[in-house]
Amino acid sequence: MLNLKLVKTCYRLAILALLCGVAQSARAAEQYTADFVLPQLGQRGTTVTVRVEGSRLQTAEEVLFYREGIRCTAIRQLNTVPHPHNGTPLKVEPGKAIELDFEIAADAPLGEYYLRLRTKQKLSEMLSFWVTPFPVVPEEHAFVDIGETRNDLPEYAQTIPFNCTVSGFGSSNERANDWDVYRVALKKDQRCTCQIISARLGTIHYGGLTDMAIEVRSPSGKRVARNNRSSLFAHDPAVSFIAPEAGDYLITVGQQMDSEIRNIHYGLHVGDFPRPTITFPLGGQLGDELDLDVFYLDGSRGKLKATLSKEVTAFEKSMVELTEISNLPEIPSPNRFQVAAFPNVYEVEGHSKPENAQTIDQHLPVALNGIIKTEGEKDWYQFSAKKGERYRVRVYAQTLGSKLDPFVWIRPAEGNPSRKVYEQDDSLWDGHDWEGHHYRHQVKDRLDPIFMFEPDADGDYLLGIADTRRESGEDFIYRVELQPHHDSLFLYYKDYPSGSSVERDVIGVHRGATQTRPFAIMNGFGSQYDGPIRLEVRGLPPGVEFDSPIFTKNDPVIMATFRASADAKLQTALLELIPHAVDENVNLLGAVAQTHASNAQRGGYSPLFNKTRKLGFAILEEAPFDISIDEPGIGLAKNAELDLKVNVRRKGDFTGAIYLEMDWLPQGVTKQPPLIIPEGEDVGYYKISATSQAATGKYRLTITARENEGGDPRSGVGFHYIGSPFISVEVTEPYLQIELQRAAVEQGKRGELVGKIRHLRKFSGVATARLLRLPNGVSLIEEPAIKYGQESVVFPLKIEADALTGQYKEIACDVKITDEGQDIHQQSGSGVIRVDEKKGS
Amino acid sequence: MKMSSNIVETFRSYRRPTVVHRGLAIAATLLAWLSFEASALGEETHVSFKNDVMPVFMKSGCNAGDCHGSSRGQDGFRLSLFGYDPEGDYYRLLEEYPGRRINRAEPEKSLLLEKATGNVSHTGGELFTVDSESYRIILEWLNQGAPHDPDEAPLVTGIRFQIDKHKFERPGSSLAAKVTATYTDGSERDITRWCLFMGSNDSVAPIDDAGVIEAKKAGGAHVFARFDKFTVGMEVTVLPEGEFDWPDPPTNNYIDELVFAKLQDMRILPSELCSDDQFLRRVTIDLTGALPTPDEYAAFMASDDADKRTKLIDELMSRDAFGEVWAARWGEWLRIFTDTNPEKGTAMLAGWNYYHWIREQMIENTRLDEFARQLLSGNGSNLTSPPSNYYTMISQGKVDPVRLSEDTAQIFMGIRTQCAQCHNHPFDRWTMDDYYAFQSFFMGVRRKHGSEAREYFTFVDVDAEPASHPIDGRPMAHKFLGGKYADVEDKDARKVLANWLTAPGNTLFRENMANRIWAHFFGKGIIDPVDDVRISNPPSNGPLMTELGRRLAQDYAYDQKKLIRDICSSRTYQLAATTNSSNKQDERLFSHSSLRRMRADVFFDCLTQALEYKHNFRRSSADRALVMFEGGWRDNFNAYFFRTFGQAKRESVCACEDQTEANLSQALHLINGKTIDDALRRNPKLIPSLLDHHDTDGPIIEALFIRTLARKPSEKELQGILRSLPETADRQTRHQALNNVLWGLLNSSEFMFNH
Repeated sequence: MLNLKLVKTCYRLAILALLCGVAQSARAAEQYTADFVLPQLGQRGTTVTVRVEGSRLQTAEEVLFYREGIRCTAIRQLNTVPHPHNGTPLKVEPGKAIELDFEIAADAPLGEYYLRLRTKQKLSEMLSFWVTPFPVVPEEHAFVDIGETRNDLPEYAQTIPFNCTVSGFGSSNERANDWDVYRVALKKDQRCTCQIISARLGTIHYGGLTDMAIEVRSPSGKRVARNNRSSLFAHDPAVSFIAPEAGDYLITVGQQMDSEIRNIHYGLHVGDFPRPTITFPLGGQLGDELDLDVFYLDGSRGKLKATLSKEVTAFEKSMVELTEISNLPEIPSPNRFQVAAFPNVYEVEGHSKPENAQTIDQHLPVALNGIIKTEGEKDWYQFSAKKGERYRVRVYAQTLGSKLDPFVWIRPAEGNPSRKVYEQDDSLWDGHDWEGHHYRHQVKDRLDPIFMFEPDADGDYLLGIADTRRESGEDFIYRVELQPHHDSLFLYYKDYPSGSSVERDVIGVHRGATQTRPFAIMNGFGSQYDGPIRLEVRGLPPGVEFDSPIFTKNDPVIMATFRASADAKLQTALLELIPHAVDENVNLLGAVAQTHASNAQRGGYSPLFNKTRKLGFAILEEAPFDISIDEPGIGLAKNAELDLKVNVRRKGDFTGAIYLEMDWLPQGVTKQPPLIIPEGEDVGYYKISATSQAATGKYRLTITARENEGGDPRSGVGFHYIGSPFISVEVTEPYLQIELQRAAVEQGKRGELVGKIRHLRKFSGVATARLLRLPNGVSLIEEPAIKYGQESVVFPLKIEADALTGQYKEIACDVKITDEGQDIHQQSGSGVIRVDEKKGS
Repeated sequence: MKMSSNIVETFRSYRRPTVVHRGLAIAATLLAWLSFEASALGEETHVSFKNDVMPVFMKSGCNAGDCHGSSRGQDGFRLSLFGYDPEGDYYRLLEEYPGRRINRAEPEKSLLLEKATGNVSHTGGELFTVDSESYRIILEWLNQGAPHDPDEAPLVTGIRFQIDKHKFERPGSSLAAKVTATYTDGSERDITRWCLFMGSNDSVAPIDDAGVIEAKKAGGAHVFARFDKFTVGMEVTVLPEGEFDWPDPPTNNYIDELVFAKLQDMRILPSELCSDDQFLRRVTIDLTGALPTPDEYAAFMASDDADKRTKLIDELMSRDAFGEVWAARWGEWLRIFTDTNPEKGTAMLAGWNYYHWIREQMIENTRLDEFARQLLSGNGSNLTSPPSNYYTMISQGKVDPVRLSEDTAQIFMGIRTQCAQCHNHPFDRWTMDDYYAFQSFFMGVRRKHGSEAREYFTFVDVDAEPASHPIDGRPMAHKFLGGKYADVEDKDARKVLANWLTAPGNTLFRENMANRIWAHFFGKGIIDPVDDVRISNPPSNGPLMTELGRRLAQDYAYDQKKLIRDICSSRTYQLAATTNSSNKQDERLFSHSSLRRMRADVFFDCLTQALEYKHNFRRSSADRALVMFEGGWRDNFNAYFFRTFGQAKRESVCACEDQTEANLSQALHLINGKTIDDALRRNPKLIPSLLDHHDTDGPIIEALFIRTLARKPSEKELQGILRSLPETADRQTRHQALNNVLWGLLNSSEFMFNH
């Protein structure tokens, strides 16, 4: 698989191509405020100097970490960066690279830390940094392997200490990928675990997903371990073995196949740490003391003692790391363990048929713990439930590293009058209390079924579980929780209309200006709440005002605006936005459920992503302009258009054009393409229209503006995003309806089309009307005027001698009504004109 | 056996099915005659719709694909193709338009008869006359009220030629074949006159509509008879005129004995044994996809070990390249597809892992039955469980039991069942019942997304409903092709199928595997194409086919290396390509070595090897075209080459996708294209190196011959080339001239072909 001998020749040939790639890399960085952080690994209790490359970093001031444990203690501008392929200093433009010192606390939890970088103008994209228990050893020849400066072949293997984390780099080119070989000395019978972290580092800005492989050979050249995909970490491989002999072992890592991605980074943990793959059981009740059966990656089995805490909080906090609750020593990426408020039930063998289903004595909720040990085995349980109860049935297997691909079902037992049968193989993201496109965001958690069990009769029910593939084994472990249901609500960033999704997955409010964010609302799994919702914000720094209209079920999004005072302190914060039922008697759990893609693979799919319940927030320095919209004096009638007057307030010497777009609109209301207010002008008119299907009512609308030039439209880097304060627009019934009569006209003569008027709403002034979609050769002589109360209108027509004869449908009229000083255009009518030949011709 | 004793007088009169009792055959025959006579005298005789009327349709061509048997029928009237749906045919005759096609009041006025006899305008013309037996059968049936058959009416259980092989002693004679049908009630019937006949080689032994076989010229052929849903074959040999002395050539093993027996039977003399250098080149290319190196050539030619050919075979089979040759073939047969396309269910990573798994199986010489079992039982992730890609690669997009069952039959048994999806196979024994009962094995295959867009999980729903028959919707219980019903209760039906398929006694699998192996070394299968096994395409040497399959499965436990060793060690494989007067026309009986154009990937590798040119495949870490896991298209610098030289596109599992015929485009590409030209220009090391070591041109020319053709030039060739070279000591000029020599060698047909 890892064909090493090719590299010798191909790398030499690749150098030129790689050098050409540098320029491209530098240009690509323009699209991001923070493109990447390197290294992405640091040892606990040390201070690590990292480099962030991106753009417009001259005013970098702060790093926002999403959890405690790391502090950024210094930020320095860089003039050069290492060449990405040969390491030589490469001069960079100002603001393209900075150096930061990360002070990692001695007690910092291991694992991933989400972070964002704040400049005076931006809060950057989400990056991540990982804390390891081991000293970090950089790959010595991290660049193109050539001559003696290489580590791609066994004879050039880099010697590394045992119990370390290698921070490595894999350069890729058109032909083949980089393989790195490390040498580590082992004693006979010593355990060695090698664990890769690469896909999980996140490669979205590198444009691809990594599929790494590990291969280990003993001193005698025998292959002792190989892996390219692990049950615990999906894309990231891991191996663990007991050294069969003493001596130097060669660990080869690299992309497992000819790849189309560009450069990859990885961490390689090499040490004697145990690597559990799975435990039995996979969870327990609060306060339990458990003896866990443990399966290790090296093939051994053992026991662990676990003590569970006595409290659990909402959502995923019930998932704890095995190292937190057991005597397992600290290891990188420990197994997770599910903690519940209800008791465990363990399977008793001999329940493989419905007629000998294992009876559950206690009433729900419970957690069923078992193993599918033989091919095609089905485990059956019988329990009682009452009509009206609601449970979320959630299976934990793949989520926690089990090899089982569970399929679960519930059906009424004999004597139960219910006829409902539940069957579930997989789950959607909402079952996990996260949003995510079902296709784009696939991870192995999704293979574990989740469904709502809502018994419609009192009585006994049978629950069965099996492997979809009919596969089996001692480590095909499952845990089925029948969890009590609680209604919940979640919200996440609505895709922004004009892209900029990466940049706009943050809230950056400029001093003295408004920032507007539409959020999508998602009902929690099994929840049926459809009443009005209000937003609560927590963690808002001083000097920022928050406003959010009440959300009703007719709205596509819930809006939130943040306005910073002119003297608010530039800083970052993590916000909690909590949706509540307006009715305080309705008890809903609510939280943010935001995912950020951390990987992208060919086709734009992002299988791995970061999940946060908090939103990155920053107060930024003043923007060069501000906007507002005049409240319209009239409503927006159905089948009518309305021009919204937008005012730009320029600051300093900024005169550039402004690009504006509505943040959201109610259903049935459409908008024009983005409005651009030309350079130097301060007023623009943004046209919105209502269809006949629009729901009448008052809506609070906003517009977001940015400079028309000077930034990257895809990412938003380089632009200031400014929201308008809310305006109120009412969608109303139309003013009038005109029913056009059928008319027959003759070539070369004059004719007329009569419309009968039905007034729906009073208007002041005089309206004018013109005809639309007239046939060739037929024209309106004069636009007739219409006053309120008038019952009909006559359209005088001129028919040319060569007008095309025939019958023409869909003749409509456009009525221009001036009300409260504003022009409203409304379309109405559907008439028919027949053009006849000139008589006698 | 003399020809005259074999002439069978066909029984040309119609009579009803007659029960043949054991020991009373003569009496039964007499009774049958009496019965016929009674019928002929006008006494009431029951005419069966299925057994009497439908054969008329078949024989007259009414239900053929170009007539009323087409899917849309003809002129508003449709019959089932070759009569696969008697119920439907009965309905359309009588009930679709009541009174139109059948006139019960005046049967002679029935449109059915009026059209068939040409009294009423008929696109198909006059099919029979009013005094024909066909007319009388239908009229009698109409006179009886055009009844449908009762449930207990006998059905055909099989047909057979009276003799299954016949040898004409010389061209110019003929034989009237006789075909008999057996029925569910135990009766038999001469159905010769109702059969459709066809031959496999009309230039040797054509057969006419009446079943008379004519011996036209010396050679071998098969003739076939079709009746109801059955097809049977008969082997016909026409011996050449004149004396024939079998020289009793030496044999190396059982293969030679069986091949030579056939040749002796056919009065064909095998060619002589090939030379050592021919053998070296032939077997090295076949076993490793590469040319012998100059060192290998020198060592082999210098060896005087009597067993050196066998030792060479063993050494070549021990190389990884041997496994890679077979991985490349299986990669095509199994359609390894590497486009990362979640909609199709394929992914580059999956293809990569799949290929490398196959490569490993081939290098480690996994038993073929085990290999097939793993593929058919493939479960789980396409990324981590490579065999599961069997269910993502051959059936891309959504899981398709139709495709899976058809392709499985074709890949592992060489049987093309596609015809039987819509009608009983016209040239084979497969019926629609067989087709859908076999499809049932795949009805439970399911596929779902795994942990990411690239990943698919394949699994089986053991409770899935079997396939249903498209005509009447009845569930088709799982039934092995040509075998029994399967017990799949609470089992993965695919595993049940795999166990049946790979059982040592299953001749369908073992002979197909043996035949595919055979075809690799001879360029032609004993049954050819290797994946078109049918009654109407019989083996050219049945005993050989049988024995190869038996050895592979029973003696060698599906260790393909052992069979390959037998093949390569045989004198048959080692025969020269040079023919003699008796075998120059033979293309099927392996009396001489065939000229085989190398596969596209092997040819590319041989080119680069001969040139000592290291080709950098674009977007691939492969060092040879043979190991490009997805074929050559990925190397878009040379995609044109692979396309031109017929590399399989992997659009189907058909072995025919790997095209190895030579054509003008290939010759033009080699002459004018950049493949050779670029290599000669970019890699000037070979000739300079030879110039460094040799002061004269002769040894250099010899070295170039050995590199390309694995032989030394003949004196005539050497002198001819030397005469064409400029007489100069200028190195650059010599270099250019020798480049031209190399160019000429690479463009020779001797280089392009394995021989």
